[in-house]
Amino acid sequence: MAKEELEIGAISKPRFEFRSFGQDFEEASYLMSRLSVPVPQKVWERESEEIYILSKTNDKNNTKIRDGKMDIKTFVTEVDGLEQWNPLMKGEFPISAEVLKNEVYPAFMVETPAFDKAEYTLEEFLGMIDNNPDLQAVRVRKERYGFMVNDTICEVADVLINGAHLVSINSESTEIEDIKKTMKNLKVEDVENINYLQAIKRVIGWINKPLAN
Amino acid sequence: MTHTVPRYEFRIFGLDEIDSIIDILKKHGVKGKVRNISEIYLMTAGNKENNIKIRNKRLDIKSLVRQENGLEQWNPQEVGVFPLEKYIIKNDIFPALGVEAPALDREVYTLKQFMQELILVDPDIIVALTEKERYAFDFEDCICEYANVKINGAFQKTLAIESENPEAVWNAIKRLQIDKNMENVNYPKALKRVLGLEIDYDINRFF
Repeated sequence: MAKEELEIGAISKPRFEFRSFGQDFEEASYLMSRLSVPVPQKVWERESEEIYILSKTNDKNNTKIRDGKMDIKTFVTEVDGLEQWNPLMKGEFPISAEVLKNEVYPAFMVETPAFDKAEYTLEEFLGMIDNNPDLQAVRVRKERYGFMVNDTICEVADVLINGAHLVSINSESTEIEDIKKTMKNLKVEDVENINYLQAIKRVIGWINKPLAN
Repeated sequence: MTHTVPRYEFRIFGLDEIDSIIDILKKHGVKGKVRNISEIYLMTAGNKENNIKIRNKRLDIKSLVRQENGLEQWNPQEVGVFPLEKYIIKNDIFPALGVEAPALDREVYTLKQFMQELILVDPDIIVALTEKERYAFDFEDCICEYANVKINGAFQKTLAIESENPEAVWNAIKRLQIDKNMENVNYPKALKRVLGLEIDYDINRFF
């Protein structure tokens, strides 16, 4: 079967991903920029502000809010240390109590609160998060620089987690072998795969493990 | 416990936006020691008045004495060096954290036992591991420093001005061209913001 041609920013079948976080990925970033084929100008540099909702009770679902829209991804599988995540739900604020009850809170895997309104604004929703000791809203600002190496979508990103700076690199593709080749080319074969949830939990002190460097 | 004279302190945290202030300190300050320091901060949501940290197995508690005209005065107290006896843990450390002390089964705790058996298992206590590169300066009769800080691996810069004389601190703030609207942010407050233990008013811009 022919490989699916990846287009940055487009919807494809679920991709596998290598990602890591630390302070110093200068060599990998340099190699990524030199090995990359030209990419569309719209992905050269992208900035976004997001809110991640972290749950103490699970690492399986990844919830983030950007531009008033909520997006939950769920962990599917891990193959050769690479992770595959699938979209679980997408919603928009104001969001209905029905969706919160049947989709969002089950993804958090915490007790569902009583809902006394038909729908909730983002501010009201974040108030509910603040009232639950097992949940936490975390501010994440990203400056992402896109590349394409070995037919994998790559990026280097400056990430602020609650205002503190990290560097992230990643390579993602539907094809595992292409990611592994890219990791080798970028000399990050021995670097730990750390996804956003893990990185944020380590920074906010919920997981006592170091980042990649 | 030992006591020293409390100093008035003004501290800021940031990233590249505080580089111009650091540059003035580097240009006009008298260079002192450079130190690389690893510390463990013990943080709780409710505690606002005690700065509790462990460095080289030594546990110190700095207590907020007063806030005056935008400056803070902290009183450093050396609690002791691990291994620590349980009465110190029960009577000094947990009250400073503002959480109830658990049952203490040992008479004496090593740092490892203290962390593993009392701290990391307590859902109300969050640990912040910091790695600091501290650059000290004398500047305008004040003890100043700027530092590169990793907080659980995430990076920030900080600059501090300290003196027993509050007028000297304000003079140094002026000379360093620190904007009068910049907030005085102490270490516990900065850590709590990164850890998400303090209400984050910056999140309002998402609404």
